[in-house]
Amino acid sequence: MLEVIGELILKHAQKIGIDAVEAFLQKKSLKRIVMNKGTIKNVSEHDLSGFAVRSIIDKRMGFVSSNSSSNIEATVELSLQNAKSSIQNVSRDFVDSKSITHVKNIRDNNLRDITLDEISDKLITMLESIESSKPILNIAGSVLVETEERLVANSQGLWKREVGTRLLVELETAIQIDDFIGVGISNECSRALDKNWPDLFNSAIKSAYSQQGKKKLSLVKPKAIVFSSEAIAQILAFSLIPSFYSTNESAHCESTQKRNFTKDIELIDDPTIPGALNTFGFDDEGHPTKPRTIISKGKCKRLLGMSFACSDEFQKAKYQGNCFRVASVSNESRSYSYPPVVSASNLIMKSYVPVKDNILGYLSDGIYVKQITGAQDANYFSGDFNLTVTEGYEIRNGEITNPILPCFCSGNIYKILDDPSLILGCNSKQVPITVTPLNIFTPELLTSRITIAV
Amino acid sequence: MSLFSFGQDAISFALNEEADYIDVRMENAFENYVGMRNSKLCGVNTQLRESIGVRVLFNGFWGFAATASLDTPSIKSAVESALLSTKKIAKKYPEKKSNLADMTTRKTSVADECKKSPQLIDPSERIALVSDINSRINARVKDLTVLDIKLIENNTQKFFLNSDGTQIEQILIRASLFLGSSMMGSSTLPKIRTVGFGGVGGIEQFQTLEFDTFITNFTSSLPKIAQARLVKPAEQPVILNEEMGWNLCHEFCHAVESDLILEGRSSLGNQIGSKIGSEEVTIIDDASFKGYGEYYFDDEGVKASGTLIVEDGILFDILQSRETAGEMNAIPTSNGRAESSLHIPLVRQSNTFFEPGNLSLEELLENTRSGLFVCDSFGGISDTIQGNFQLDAQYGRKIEKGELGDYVTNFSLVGNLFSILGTIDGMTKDLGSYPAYCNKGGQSVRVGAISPKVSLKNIGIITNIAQRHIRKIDFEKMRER
Repeated sequence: MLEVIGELILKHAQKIGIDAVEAFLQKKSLKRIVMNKGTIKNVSEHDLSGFAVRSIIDKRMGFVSSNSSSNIEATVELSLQNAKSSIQNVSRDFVDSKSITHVKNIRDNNLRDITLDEISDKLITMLESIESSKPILNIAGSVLVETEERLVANSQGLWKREVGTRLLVELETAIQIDDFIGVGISNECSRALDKNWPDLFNSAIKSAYSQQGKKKLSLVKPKAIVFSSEAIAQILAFSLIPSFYSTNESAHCESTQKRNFTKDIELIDDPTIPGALNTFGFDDEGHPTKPRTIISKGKCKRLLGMSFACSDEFQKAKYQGNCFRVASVSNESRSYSYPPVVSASNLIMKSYVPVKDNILGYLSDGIYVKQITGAQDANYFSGDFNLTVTEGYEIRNGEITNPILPCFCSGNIYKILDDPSLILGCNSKQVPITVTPLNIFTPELLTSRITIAV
Repeated sequence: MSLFSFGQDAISFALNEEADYIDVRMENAFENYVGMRNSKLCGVNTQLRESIGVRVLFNGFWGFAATASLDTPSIKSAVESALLSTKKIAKKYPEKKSNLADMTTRKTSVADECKKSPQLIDPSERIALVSDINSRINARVKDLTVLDIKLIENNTQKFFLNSDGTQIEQILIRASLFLGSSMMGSSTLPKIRTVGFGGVGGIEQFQTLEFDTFITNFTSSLPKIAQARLVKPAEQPVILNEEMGWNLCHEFCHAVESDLILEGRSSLGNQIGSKIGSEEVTIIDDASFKGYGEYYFDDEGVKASGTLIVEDGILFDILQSRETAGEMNAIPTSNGRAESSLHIPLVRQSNTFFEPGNLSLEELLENTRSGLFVCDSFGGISDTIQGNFQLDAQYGRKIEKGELGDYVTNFSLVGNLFSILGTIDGMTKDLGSYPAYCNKGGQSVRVGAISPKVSLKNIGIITNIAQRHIRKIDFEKMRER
């Protein structure tokens, strides 16, 4: 079906005299089970497909998306009309099939044929195995299986198709003991249904229990803060990563490239990690994906980009290969309906000199910040962020001690990443960032450049 | 085969399969976007979408299927297979019984008024509008490092059918314009500003005196915000401008959404009739108010109406969908909303606002004497279980001796939802209204950001002042001093 529509678009574009055209076609199936109160609340199945057309006429570009197969020709004509009325100048063409190297299909589709029945059976078995003696107030969450077929074709002869599946599980467990209510969260993203789900529940319950006996932060002069992988990933996602997107905020992009970072850290965007959440064979313009080093040895080495960012002048460096049809804030993973934008895929932060031991051992007294909220309002132009610490613990003599009542912390990501005393932990964890397309691999991070308010 | 026929077929199919209830939502959506960044047009985009969502109740168990598929023959099979899966899983939960609250059956068709329909205007007209706004701003403010202009127009035709016999068509038309800017100032870090204007109707809204005032306020504040300094973290009296006032009201009202109450995520369900705010506080949610969150019927077919949530500081009611009202034996409040036909309705706010008071800004300033006037929001987040919230402000002005003083920036307000309304001691008589979006459960819906200016006796202000070393600020100790 996608191939037929793709050909129709290219043929009609040629017929009506469009200089260059690109068709993006997508068929997506979502199977979702939502849990609440320890049982399945509802099940749903979504079948989403559609196409988008980018046309260039007289070096002007227009975009249209649609999911109606009955008006394909009219949609191509509307993209031409948009291009004619646009004053967005483009001086290049779409990706030429001859100029790109072929890559092996790296995306798997193990979950393509799974049914809602199979997922619900597994989930019910797991929910029934939970001990009824535990003081559980609520078990909530969702399981989502996504199957996506994607085709990018253009008038330069490009024709690339890929099918992939992925699974996302989010669990939230609340317990109540007298007046105390503890909430634990755990999530998992994978490419198979064989994960041990009871382990996920146990981890969430353990986290909920560990918050019992919360006290106001009593350390008079904490030496530093250790952010968990989940917390630092949130901070990176909203206060740093968009700064590496090459768009025509040229002054901002130039200042990002001039910033200094501690020489110990390395930041890489890698859409080729086997089994990771955002692993694809090609981006949404058809460029083959590959790892791209953003920060190395204290300097920003490159930005992330796509063929048609906002302005041509800033395309001197020709950063390409990070074009995705995503919204910066949305639960939808990728959709034909979004105009192409620059986005990171699987972002990895690591240290050149990883510590061998538990990172907490480096700290006599401080705070361990496990869960936060509020990172999404960070200012990525300046790097400033203000957060609420929803799950945190005091660290004394290198050990986690009592949980603390919610407090607030503020900082600047550029100051943190330029801190010579910054330490990254030894165990990296994959953290999908909810309501964004981002997926981050990072260990825990120790920093002293932070303000805590209680 | 039309979407309408699919909808009717789905109802027949589900009833034949002995479903207790079925509703079908269909949408025909047109969205146009024009983006300009640093005087260069960077997007003339149109989105056309047809979609259908089918919700069914089998033996008290909910199932949902949605499709926005190119492949028309498969739409029917997708819907049918999802309904059959639901029926099968429902058998595994024989004890689970959900009910729907009663609702009047209706057959009607309603539409927003609009002078410049998004689908009918000449595309060059909207580009001329964006170019003109860009020129006006650049003529008044120099040295902007980034100026972003986004014009979004929506025309959504929505159909709702259910097995009770309700058939509703509504056409909702919106236009909104968002400005974003970055400007270097006193520090090495740029100062950011984002504002929005818009509401029900088309781009005719941007040819009014009100819009001219909006542009003037935006341009005149930029150089002052660029030179703004950091504020000292402390607890102090504040006056919230309309956008921040709405943000506080909105975050509080998440705690009165009945789905969160049923899930044990908010304890306010047990506090109806209790005092939760000062006597100055009355909160209303009204989908029939002509704000950005306006609609005629919610996504369960319930007629839009106003809900009195808090009256004179007493919690009076909570927000209900038809589904949650059935479970709580309550009356639906027309708050069952979904982002589109592709999503399940959740309990959502529409136009939620504090009822205006009887004071002017000057009177609020005079009463406050010393504190902070907090303006415009970067966003907010709340934890409805523990009650903690954080509202991120774009900028503020010091209040000294009852008058507005220096500009300050880079700070957030923090506190507890369950006690903060008790600190409200005054509101202005005028209301401001802006376009806004709310995210919940992975769905984004339009809401009206409507509020008077609101005065609070005391609230925590946090800010990023420790650039070099860890610093701890203890609000209680600061108070003691």
